[in-house]
Amino acid sequence: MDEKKAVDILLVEDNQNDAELTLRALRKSNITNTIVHVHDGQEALDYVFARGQYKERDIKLAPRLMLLDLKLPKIDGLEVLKAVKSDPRTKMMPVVVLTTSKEENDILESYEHNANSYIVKPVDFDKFVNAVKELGLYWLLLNVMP
Amino acid sequence: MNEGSPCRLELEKALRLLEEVQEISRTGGWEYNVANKHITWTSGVYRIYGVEPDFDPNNLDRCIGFYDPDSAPVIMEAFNKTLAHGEPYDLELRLTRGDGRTIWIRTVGKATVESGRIVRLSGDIMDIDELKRAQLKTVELTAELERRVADRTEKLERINKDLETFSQAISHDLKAPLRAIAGFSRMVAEDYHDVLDAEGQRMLTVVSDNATTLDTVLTEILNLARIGTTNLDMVNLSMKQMVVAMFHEVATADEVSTVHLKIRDIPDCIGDSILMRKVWGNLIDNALKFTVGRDPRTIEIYAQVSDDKSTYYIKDNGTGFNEDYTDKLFVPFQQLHSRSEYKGIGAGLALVKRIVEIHGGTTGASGKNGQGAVFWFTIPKISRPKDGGNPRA
Repeated sequence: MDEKKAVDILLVEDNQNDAELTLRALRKSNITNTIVHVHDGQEALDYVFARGQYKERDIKLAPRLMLLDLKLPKIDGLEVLKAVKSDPRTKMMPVVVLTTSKEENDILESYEHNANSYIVKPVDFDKFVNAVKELGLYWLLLNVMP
Repeated sequence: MNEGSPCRLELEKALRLLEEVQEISRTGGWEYNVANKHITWTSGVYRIYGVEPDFDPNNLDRCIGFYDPDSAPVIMEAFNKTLAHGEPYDLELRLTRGDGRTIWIRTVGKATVESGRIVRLSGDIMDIDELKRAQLKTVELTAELERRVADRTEKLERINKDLETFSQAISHDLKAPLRAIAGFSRMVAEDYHDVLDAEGQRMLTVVSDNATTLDTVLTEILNLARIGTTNLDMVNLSMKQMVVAMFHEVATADEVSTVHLKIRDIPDCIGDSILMRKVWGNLIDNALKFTVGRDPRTIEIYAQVSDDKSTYYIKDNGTGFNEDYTDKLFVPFQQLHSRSEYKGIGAGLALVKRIVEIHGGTTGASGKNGQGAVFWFTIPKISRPKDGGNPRA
């Protein structure tokens, strides 16, 4: 991958099956933009802030969209969200929480920490594809960033 | 004073009355003459102490000896203070009577001052044993009751917490594998379309359909479990608007144009908007499910208003149900119809019942096999919006 170019989507997902489903749903929706998949909260923060294995990356080239699962190993999804949204270099990056949880608290806390959307991953595959398609179209095509 | 004189008769009458009063009210009076240190008791005091009339009250040690070890120093101190400073006392103490019976008494004492000197102490003593024991029993029972309530509350809170944890476990740990089952079986069907024959394709559809059904079941259980922990936001609700909105949400596009929905003039109510939408959503969904195949399909919604409540009815011309099983309708996990016909566990009506009940209302249904059904619920008029609730027109 070209390290000099900004990726379009950063997928933060520890569940390999869910990641595969998400990637497939994106492909099915003809969203074939560059996608980077990281597996835990630590790796997500390393990528976003160009640290550790991603220290060669240009921090100014923020992903255009982060798809964030909440239940993550090492660093929890909410912590990732907090870190991203409280840093002036990354706070503009749209973060869509894409999770299994429909718990009121998770939803509230996500929005309190400035998540841009909160989407519950549907079990039904067609609905799943639809949800991913719509959020991809919205955040990557319709939404205008400064 | 001569025997038989009117004066003497009056005095005897007064003494007799005093005697009666002391006996009825279980009281007695006493007096202490400071000058000669002489103590006088009325007959009531002898009765309370349970001693013979020849008992000498001037034996102070013996008198104090009647009191319990806890009570004796208290009465001594109070008596001495009254004697020294004229400070009155009013105490509840325990004493063991001459006959060995231990009782509660109330004793009151005060000083009489003449020319700046305390000349006399006097007071009365009351047998308050029955009253005191009843009072102590009440205190004991109240404490016991409070302890039990606290125990039970703690237990319920623990159960609630467990339920929450359980709900979260269901959400996270069961749904993710289900999504994989549903998704991957579809992926197989798509990617290996050429390799699989029709039977193979059908089997994969069975896999993903069952995953979806299980998802519906889990969602229903979760919804039901969550109701108990919801905080109500009571506002004024336009039921008519809500019915129309929920019909459009629940019905398919085809159903919107073919099902005859008649909404009579139904009154507004005070309730929680999110929960009340679930009530109508489930009832309308129910009516839609059971009218499939009828021509025409009709759903009628009407209400009856009384002084204290509004009763809302939803009537359909569907398959109805066997009236013997009306009780089972509102119980979760009980389905009158076979699972293959309708998805889910039948928790919809259980949810309706729970929501209506926390609004202070009741639910019911009537119907006959093959002749449609009427479901109804009541919402009390008195339920006021809670603090912070914004009444909405």
